Amino acid sequence: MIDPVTAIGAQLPAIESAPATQPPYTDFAAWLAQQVDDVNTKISQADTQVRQLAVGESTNIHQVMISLEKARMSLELVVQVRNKVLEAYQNMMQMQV
Amino acid sequence: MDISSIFDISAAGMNLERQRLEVSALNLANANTTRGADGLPFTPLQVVVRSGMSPFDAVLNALNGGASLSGAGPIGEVQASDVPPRQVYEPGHPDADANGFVSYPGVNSVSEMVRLIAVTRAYEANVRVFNAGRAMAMKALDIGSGR
Repeated sequence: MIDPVTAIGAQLPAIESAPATQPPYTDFAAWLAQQVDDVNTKISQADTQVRQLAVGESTNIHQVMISLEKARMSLELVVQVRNKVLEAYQNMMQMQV
Repeated sequence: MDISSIFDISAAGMNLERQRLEVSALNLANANTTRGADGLPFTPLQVVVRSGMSPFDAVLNALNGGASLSGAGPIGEVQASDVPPRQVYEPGHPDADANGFVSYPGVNSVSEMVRLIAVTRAYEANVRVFNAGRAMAMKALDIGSGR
């Protein structure tokens, strides 16, 4: 049996015109500073592990390599964010007034 | 970053393969040890692997919608394997019994060699997974830079 055609509005869920609550305000500068801090911690951890491996205190080579990779990826993320911010800033500065 | 849980799981896998290689090395090195610390011939060891995820973790993970598998990596336990010792007739040996037989550890060199190959390949597989995760993360950082 084929269902009779009904109005679409009855089937669709009601679309909210505006979000009920404001998104929480986050400080971008604080976020960036925290990320840079995080990268710094990871790099210093990797550095400590490399040093321990070099002096023979640690024998876990793959753990050291994984720490190095994690540090490198965090740094890459922060660098990309910085690139985007600078790009936006330069766009603003080139705006014709 | 969620990618780091992939790294943790791969690291657990690499740790396990390293442990298995260590046990194989110990077995092969002690293949002719007729007297250990307890006066008995060396007992061959084996690694028994179980999942690192406890029932509690599994329930918690299901409640969170299966978000993180970070603690689910394998954990290896070293146990003695009950292989009977190899009896060799050497009457002049100081560890020979009354009939002149010496008990050598029941280490099977052939199966240890096969395990060596399997361990190497499994380690490589874990490294491959790690590299795939890293490549994905690096590719994600390339989003929007193709101009």
